[in-house]
Amino acid sequence: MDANLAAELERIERAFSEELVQSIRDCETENASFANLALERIRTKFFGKKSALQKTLHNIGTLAPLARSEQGAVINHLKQKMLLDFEKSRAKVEKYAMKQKMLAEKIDTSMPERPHKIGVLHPIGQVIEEVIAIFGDMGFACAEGPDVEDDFHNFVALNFPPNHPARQMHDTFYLKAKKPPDGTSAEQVQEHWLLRTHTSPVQVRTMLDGKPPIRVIAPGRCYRSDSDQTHTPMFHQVEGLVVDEKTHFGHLKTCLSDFVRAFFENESVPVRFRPSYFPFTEPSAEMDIACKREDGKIEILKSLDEPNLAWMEILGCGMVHPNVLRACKLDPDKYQGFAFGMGVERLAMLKYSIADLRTMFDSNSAWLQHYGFSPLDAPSLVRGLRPQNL
Amino acid sequence: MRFTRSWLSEHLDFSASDKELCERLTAIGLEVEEYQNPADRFAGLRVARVIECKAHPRAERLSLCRVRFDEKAEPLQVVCGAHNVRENFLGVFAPVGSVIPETGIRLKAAKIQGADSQGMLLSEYELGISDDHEGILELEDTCRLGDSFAQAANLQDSVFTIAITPNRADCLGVRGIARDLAASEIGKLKPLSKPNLKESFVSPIAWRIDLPNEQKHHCPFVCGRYFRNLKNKQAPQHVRARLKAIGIKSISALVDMTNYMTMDLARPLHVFDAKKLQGSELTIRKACKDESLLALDNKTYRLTKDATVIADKHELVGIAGIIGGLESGCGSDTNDMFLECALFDARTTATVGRALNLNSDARFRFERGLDSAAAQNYCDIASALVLEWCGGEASEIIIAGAMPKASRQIALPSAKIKKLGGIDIEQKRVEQILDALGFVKDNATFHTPSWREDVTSAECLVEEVLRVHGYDAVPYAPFRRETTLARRAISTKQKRDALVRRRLAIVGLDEVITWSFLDSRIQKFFNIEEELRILNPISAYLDSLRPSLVPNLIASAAQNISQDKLQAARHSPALFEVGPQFIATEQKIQQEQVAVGIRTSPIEARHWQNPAREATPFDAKADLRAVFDACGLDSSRLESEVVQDEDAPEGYHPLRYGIFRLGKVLIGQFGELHPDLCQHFDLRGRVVAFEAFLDRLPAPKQRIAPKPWRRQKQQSLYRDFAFWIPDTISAADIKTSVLRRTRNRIAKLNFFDEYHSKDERSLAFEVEMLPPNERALNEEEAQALSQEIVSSLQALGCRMREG
Repeated sequence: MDANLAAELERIERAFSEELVQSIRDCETENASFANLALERIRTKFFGKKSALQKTLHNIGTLAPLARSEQGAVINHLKQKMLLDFEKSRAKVEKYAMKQKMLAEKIDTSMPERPHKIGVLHPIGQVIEEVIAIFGDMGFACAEGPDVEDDFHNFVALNFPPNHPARQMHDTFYLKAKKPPDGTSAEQVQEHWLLRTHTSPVQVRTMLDGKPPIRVIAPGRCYRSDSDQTHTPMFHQVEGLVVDEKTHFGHLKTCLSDFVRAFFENESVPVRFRPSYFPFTEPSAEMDIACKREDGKIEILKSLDEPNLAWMEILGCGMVHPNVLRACKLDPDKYQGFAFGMGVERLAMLKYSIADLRTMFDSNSAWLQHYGFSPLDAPSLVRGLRPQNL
Repeated sequence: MRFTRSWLSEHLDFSASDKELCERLTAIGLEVEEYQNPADRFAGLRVARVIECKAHPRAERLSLCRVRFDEKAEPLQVVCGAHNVRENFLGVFAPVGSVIPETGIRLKAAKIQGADSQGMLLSEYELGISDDHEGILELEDTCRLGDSFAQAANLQDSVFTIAITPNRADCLGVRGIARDLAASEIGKLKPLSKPNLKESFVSPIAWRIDLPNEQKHHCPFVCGRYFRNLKNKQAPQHVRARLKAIGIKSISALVDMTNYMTMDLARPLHVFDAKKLQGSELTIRKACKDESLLALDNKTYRLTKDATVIADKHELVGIAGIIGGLESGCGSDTNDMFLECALFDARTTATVGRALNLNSDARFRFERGLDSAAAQNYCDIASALVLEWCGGEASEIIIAGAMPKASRQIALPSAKIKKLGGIDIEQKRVEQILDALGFVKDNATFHTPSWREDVTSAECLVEEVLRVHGYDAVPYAPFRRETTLARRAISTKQKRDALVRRRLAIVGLDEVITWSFLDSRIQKFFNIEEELRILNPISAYLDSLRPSLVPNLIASAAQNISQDKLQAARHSPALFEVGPQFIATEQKIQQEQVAVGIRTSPIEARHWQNPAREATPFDAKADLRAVFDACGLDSSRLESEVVQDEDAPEGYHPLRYGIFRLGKVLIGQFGELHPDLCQHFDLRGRVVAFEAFLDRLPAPKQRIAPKPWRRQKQQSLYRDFAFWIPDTISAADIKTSVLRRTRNRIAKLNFFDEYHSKDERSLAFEVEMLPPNERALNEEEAQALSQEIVSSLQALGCRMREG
């Protein structure tokens, strides 16, 4: 090979690697963009049309074919090697460049983020959904009725005779007068709309609307003009009604004791049924569960062996009174069944240890955070009634 | 209703313990609310004698006593500070380990001034029976050494307080309770005495019932007796003790007699001082309008013509079944007395008593119904007590009206108990229970006793048998759902409400439950119709049904903020409620379910990346759209409308308010609340709210399996537009106009810029142009579509914005 050419190639190669090394050094001493510029310059200088390497290629064009291909191979070999080196350097520079860019982007991630705010659900709604889940599994459907009722649905059809003492326990809120039917004289005592004192009018509406077999529960707001430590003028009840041709008191006992066990998630809570009185059931009963009261706290028991056992009323129930069936156009000789009603606030207070009834309706944000429920964990029998994050 | 053990034993021969009594009473439906045994308070306290008493060697005022309460045991040394202690003194001794009733302190052995003291002699104060702490209590010499104090002082009579349900008028007397207990095999009911009275003269006063025919049932029967030469002193000690034990103050023999009869036989009576009655007749009649009576409780009651009254020749002397007159009442100087024993109608007594707001033991019993057949016999029993306690002579019995027939005959088919009660009870046992309760068997039927007006049907008889036999005995019968598949328990609307509640909590609002009531004093902000007023509100704060939930929510938010202002500036309340609101129509009062939310400022607290942000109506609008979405409504093609200022409802800022309509139906509204309203509630920052009228939305459809999904082959084109728009045109107008003009060729129109220059407003928006089927939109088509958009807006008076 031509000694001149060899010397020339060697000079090009040396100059090339010196400049490359310098560009990498630039990265460290100056910055990546400086190095990038340097690389661009190197590319033009050593691989451009006017580069020394290009010139050598150009020069061999005049040689004999054999010599030309021999020398050409040598030059091209060098060029490939230089290109490879160049790419390596460029990758290095890019890596430096990225590193420097990221260094400039450094932040303090221990600073606070903007949180997603999620709200909470009120315990009353949670408890109603739990109650629905349990009775739903026993084949009950949910019914509803209006808050503003009349005397017929709230009292008369439920076998409360006018002026009966049982009505006095229902301190009723009255509203505007009902429009008297045509033809009645103004002399007659005007009947007023009222706020339902219990959810039992839904029993009446359900029976008037459909034929047995009936299995419904009806959650809803109720109103009594009563306000003290343990009473609020508005509260919630869940009503229940079963009517068919054969349901008897033994079924009532099973249904309701299964309910309290499922609701309190306590397989063995002792229950008792105690004779009581409601105008719309006969026989009537109240169901008590065994508990222990200590320092104002109520604990639901698992057996009757506890020495300080006390009984606590949890709901009222009984066999639907024949007069109620009659008022609802059902034949009491053919149909029978049971009804029950329970206070939702009381259930919520017992299950979730809420001490003061009145705080339920105070809308206090801190209270809601404390007793509220996540909207993501809807109660169901298979996934658990009680949310995990309580 | 209260009674004592000894009182019960007047009617019931029994040996059951107090604990058994309590359990049985509750088991048969006479729920024991409270049980008190005085002996428990005095446990360990004994009758003891001081056998030696000398001065304490080191303390002048103290005595060193040797006390004996057990003949066999060694006497104990006690240091005593009482001035009245002396040798042979019989007192109450509290040994070490016993508890002092008044203080609740358990006694320990002590050394007082160097002398051992092994107990204490107690004063009346320490025993908790009086305030007297002048010296220790000295017992009468008849007390036996070593007896418990409770025995010695006859304080062993336990007191039972039971809740009587309104149907059991018969158990408002001790005898009724005894009868129930006897039926449940606790003891045997003693026969009721039929006194043999000596009737010595003809009564100078007669009864007259003067009621119109249609009101005859207000007093079908009355009887009475005249007594003379009696002395109204004190009732016997055991009677006074019983009355005291159940909380009734002893007044005089005659008054105590009426109270005793009320509590013993559930028989209210009245005693008149006969000398204070005018004329020879007592009349039972209706009151005249505006007649009034100064009653025994020292209050004057003005009566209406509904009231049944008792009157002498000149004036009223009593309100039937409720209360007697003060002036004709008996006092300590009463020598002649007239006894009234009447049957008054329950309903009238209840109505009149409620109207007068007058509660009495008599009213309580009359309105629940008395034993109608027993009036005459009870009059005799009361008469015998009067003669026994006060001496004197009794007249013949005076009667008006006729005793009503009270008995019913009820058939009880033998299968009924099993069918309704779910338990097999032997026929013999059934008959035995009913017999003990006073029902008389007549073939397959039973005659009800006169004291059980409440028993009207076979079901009532089943209850009687079941409760006495025991609800516990009824076997549990399997109760399961009747289908294999669990039905969905909740209705579509209930599911909708549940989803809305969850959705709103997820966007950051806390759920509250507020009263269905409203304070009508905020009427100036919310027009509350007179028709929603509650006629008998519990307070002025809750005197109306709510026509909207916004007032309650703003009040709740304001209360939260005022309770903790510093906290609220950082974490301002955001609340929602799903519940009913009310509207009065001509016919009735209707309710509709709404979801309402409120957000206060700052909606976002200050943060190092951004300053605090005030709530804007668009926050409420986003919440409202979330509700629509939760209800299954595709709200993306729905846009809110701007309404004329004067059409904005009360409570909202009229120029920062919007509505959503579906067709013509208003389905939601939102906006900033009126500054006056915020000021009223002392809210500083801006407050926004939304209301979604859930019942007006179309019912959500059950999800069915959708069509198979296919990837869209052609891409949409996006174009931006900017227009200067007139003041009268809203964003919704532009959106509607464009979408209407371009039908289905445009998928979305999204505003991304608003710009104000002087008095002109410019809006910029992007549209998504959909490709026709199976091919891309070409440039000419896109151009034509753009031109359509431009010309539709130019028709509204908008100008293209240059550059």
